[in-house]
Amino acid sequence: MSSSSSSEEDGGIITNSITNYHFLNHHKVPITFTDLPLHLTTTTTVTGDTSSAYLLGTTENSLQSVYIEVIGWKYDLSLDSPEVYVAKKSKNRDSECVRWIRLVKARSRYEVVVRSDLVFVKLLHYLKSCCEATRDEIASFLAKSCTSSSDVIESLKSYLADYVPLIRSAMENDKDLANSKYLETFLMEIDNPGETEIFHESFSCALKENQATKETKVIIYLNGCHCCEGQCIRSFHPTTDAGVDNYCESLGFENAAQYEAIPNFLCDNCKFQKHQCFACGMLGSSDKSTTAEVFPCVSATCGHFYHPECVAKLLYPSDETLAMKFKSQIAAGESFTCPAHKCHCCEQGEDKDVRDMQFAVCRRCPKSYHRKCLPKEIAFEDSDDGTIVQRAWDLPKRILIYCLKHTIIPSIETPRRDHLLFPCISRRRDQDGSKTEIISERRSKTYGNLKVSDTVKMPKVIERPHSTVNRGNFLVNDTVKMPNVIKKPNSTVTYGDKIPEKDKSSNMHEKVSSFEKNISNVRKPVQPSNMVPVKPPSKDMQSDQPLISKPVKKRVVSSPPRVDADMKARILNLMKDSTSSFDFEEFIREKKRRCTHQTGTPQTGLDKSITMGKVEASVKAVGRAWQILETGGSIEDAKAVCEPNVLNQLNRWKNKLRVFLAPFLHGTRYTSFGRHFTKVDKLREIVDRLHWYVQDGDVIVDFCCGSNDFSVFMKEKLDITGKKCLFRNYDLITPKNAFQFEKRDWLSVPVNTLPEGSRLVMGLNPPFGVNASLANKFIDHALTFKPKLLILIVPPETKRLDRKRSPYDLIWQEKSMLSGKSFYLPGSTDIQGQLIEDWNNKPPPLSLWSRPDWTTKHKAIAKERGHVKKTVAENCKALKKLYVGNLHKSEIGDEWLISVNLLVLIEVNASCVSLQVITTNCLILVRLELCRNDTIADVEMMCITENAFVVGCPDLVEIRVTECKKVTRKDRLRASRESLVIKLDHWFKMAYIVSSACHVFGTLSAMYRNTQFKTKTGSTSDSGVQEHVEEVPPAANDVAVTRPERVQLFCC
Amino acid sequence: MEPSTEYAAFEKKVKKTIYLDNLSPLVTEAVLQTAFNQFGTVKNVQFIPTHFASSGVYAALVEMQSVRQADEIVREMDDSPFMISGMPRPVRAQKAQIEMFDDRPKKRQRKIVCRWVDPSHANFEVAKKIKNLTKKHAAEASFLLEQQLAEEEKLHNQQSETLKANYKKYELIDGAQADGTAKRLATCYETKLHDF
Repeated sequence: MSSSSSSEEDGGIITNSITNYHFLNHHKVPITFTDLPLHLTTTTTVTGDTSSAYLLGTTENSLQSVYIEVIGWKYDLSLDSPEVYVAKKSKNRDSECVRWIRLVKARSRYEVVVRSDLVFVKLLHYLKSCCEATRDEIASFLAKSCTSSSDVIESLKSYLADYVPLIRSAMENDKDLANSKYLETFLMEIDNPGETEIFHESFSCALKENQATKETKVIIYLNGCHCCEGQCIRSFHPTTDAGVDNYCESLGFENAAQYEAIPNFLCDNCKFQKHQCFACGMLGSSDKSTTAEVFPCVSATCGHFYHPECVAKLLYPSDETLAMKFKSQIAAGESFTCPAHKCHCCEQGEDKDVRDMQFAVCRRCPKSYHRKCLPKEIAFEDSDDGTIVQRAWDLPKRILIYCLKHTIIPSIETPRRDHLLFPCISRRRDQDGSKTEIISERRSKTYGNLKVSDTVKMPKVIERPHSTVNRGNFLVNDTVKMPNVIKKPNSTVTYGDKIPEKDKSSNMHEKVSSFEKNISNVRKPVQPSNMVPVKPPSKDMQSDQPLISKPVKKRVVSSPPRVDADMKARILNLMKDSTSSFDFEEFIREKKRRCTHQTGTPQTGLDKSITMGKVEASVKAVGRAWQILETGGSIEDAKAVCEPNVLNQLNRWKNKLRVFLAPFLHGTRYTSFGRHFTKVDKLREIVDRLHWYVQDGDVIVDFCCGSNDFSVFMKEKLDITGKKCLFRNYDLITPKNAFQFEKRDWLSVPVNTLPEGSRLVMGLNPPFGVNASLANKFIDHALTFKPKLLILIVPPETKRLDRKRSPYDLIWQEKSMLSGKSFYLPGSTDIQGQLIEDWNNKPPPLSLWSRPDWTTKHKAIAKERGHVKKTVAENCKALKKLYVGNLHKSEIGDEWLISVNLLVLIEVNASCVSLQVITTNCLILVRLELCRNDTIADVEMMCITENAFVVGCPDLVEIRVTECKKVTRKDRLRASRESLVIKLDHWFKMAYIVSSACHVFGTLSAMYRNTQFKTKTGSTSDSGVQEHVEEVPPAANDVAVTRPERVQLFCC
Repeated sequence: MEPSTEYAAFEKKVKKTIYLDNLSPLVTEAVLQTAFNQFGTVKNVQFIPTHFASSGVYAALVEMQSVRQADEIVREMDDSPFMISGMPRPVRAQKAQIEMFDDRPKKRQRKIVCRWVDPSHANFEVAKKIKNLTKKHAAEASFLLEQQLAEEEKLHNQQSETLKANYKKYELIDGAQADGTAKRLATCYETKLHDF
């Protein structure tokens, strides 16, 4: 669609491409082309910030300077290098034809402005050609493509965050981009905040960005925050080190191991169930079992508490009676959403997808603005004259602000940080001498309020530029001490008064918790002598005990030994030495390095950000949102309580938890290494089939050999048939039978270790992984060897080999061979002590793939040996119609569904495989109706349309899709064939429209001339063809596979 | 004097044996048999007492067919965590030691005879020293054991606490999804629920 014509419609500019260009908006300010609307196809556009701009530059060939108004842009990724075009505004507005001008080179001074956008287009181009690219690969690509040092992109994610709407629409419109793994996960993360999003949670410290980061579009991710498990949904800087950068007081832990050891960390607020009212700042009890004073907002991601009267006042500032009523409702326990979920200005909710409707949330009080409603005093940067200080930070997922109520202190770039109030326990002697515990308050230390700088002794002040710390309104009364309570959430600034007890208590946590510790034990076993069950001489114990209680200093040689302080110290020291010599972080790194194909495994513990508080809040919010909808509330209200993201997030969390809990959910059934072996008899069956394809001198590679049975059987069989082959078996774990075994991760086997591809037969049962991710990796690695044959047991969702970059041909596929109990879990027994068998809900098909140049040979063998099943199509040459419906889902497989001219599939699990065969082979297929087929999704639809056009069905005129939930987009299916009608019904409707092609009308009528017509509607459709509805009893020459329950057919 | 032939056989057996600990109380002989049969042939399984039984941790000796298999297993289990029977920590393995066997034969065929020694005897002081030293070692060992037990207990509590908390979260989410509210809500929002 590039500008092919160079007409001279206005001003005599003859040009296709402009160099030395730059863009100006109407105020003569430089802007980039991405501010313009993006034209993806002729019909779809993505709106930009401005509707038009002026392009200045010189034409590429004539060096004539130009000044053109442009109204849009597009990119072209199909060429070797990506091209960017802008659309010229045409003089007469009605004219449909848009003239596109190619951009060649930006003006050197303008390059800075446009560079990041150009890099983005380059990135899209790269991703289009390389959809498997991982994060690191992309980063290195970007590093390469950014030639000048100034535009090094430090954080890919935050860089891409600016382009989310563009990425979305680009992916919708480009199949290759839609396949990009990285973009997919990237968008998923954007859609599901909370996993990585830590910004919307109220940090005890304030968030800070410095000038430099703003320029490079890099945002400091607040590293390693520690989440409170309670209702407050907050995170805290755990260590003093992490806090220092942000002038945060932090929790004061010394290293990661210390806080990791706390299984369920609760901040003091949550621990004592005393939370601050977000409106007035006072502490109140939130304990519902007694008398609660403050109540949580019901919104899933809020986590703020309010006094009933405070929130009532905020919500109904003018109406006192309503406020009173509301207050009593809340006090009675009714849920509410706080004002932070409605814009302070226009009282509308948030829409995260629309830029203007995104919320900017004040971090100190319940106030939010839409981006568009933000008062101009709340600015994203300091103004030059110093009257306006930066109050807003535009983060990838949320804008955070400090509203005008709070005074910003320039030195820390936030308001004072004494806003947090923690309860803390103090022990005090009563008059009668008994100890009582009193809960008092402790305020986070302020950084502001500098004039009240009194002289409080600081045992340890970390040197910072702004270290004049003061205690501000420190509310702790004199008697308050903070003994045994581990020092918890304070906020901001240096870590002032260190509690002496802390060191001891932290010692308690030095032992790393949970699984990490386990692993550590594996690595560093306690001295064997301790593990040997030495029977402690009980007599000695008794005799020693009294001595323990009264340690004697002097030692007489002849006196029996005693456990004195000396010895204790010595032993404790020994223990400490042995534990400290173990580097926990190094160990985890080592383990991670070994996990070549796992991410976020339970080995490193569960994602700590899934806190109980968040889970509870989300679950509650879901319930409440539904309640709102049921009682007739608006969707807007429901969304304020529970954002759509929350639902997906719950799913993600559940999945993560399930993976983490797998060993316990399945209890005794859990398999040691989580392995999954194919049963011996099945392997023999496979060997019986496969050996026909193997030639003398081939090398048979089992890339995940498990028990190593396959190779052994294969060798037996080949020895009988007199073929001599070599074998290679790889796995991570040494099997019992180490026949030709090499302990090696398949993914690390280099290409040159195996002979050339035409001698290679590879495959079998790789680990599947979530969503076949591992299986895909194994296959991809196998493909680098270019084997002539690949035999695979992989789940159906694995990416098919005929859709790879270098496609392979399917020789045959057995869907049901491995159904039933075809697998066993090695090393696991059931209650009776029997080996546990296992089956998959969806049996993984066994398939044989051939390299294209070998396909004919292999296909011939398959045919000769009868490995390819005869299909309906081949057997019933005269078959014209086939009704399939209401059968048990598993009874009909792909092999069945081939060839007829009218095919109605109702509740049949057809997939790409059968549909591809159908659409490529059924030369006479005219109509295809898919009804209630859960397996049919967009991919399948694409498969149908593509194949039908290129090879298969010249006569196909209509595809009707009814109640197939996974089919979403009709626009993508339409493609180029005019005569094809695709009808997409989500709800079963009786009427439908038939193709406009008249000859089709003829064909169809001829086809049904034997059946009775019953006209239901006489109305004329747009195309001028009459709509009819008819009922067809299964005719004599039809094959009726369904039970003869009325099958509804539609025809004209 | 040469070690007896019986002892030599025993030493061979020790080399083929691995010592497992951190075993769950649910683990039975059959479970271990099958668990290790995937790496080799298990010849014998013997549970042995351990000091840490109070924190629900058991130990066993597993004799394999060959030394190679035993070595392989120890290496394997060092490399990747091996979970058996829903214990929230992996099983540890190391090569067994002679002292772990209760029924070990005598190394040499010789008799040990006890007799009283008179205080005036030249060896009296030596014997006494040895006796005290043994006692001292025992005392140290018991103290160390005490510390280890305390730690083991702590670890055990931590693990079960984490496990319980996470299981509760799982249940909570499961509950919310089981009654279909989440799905209905998604339909109302017209958002697609991803099945991760």
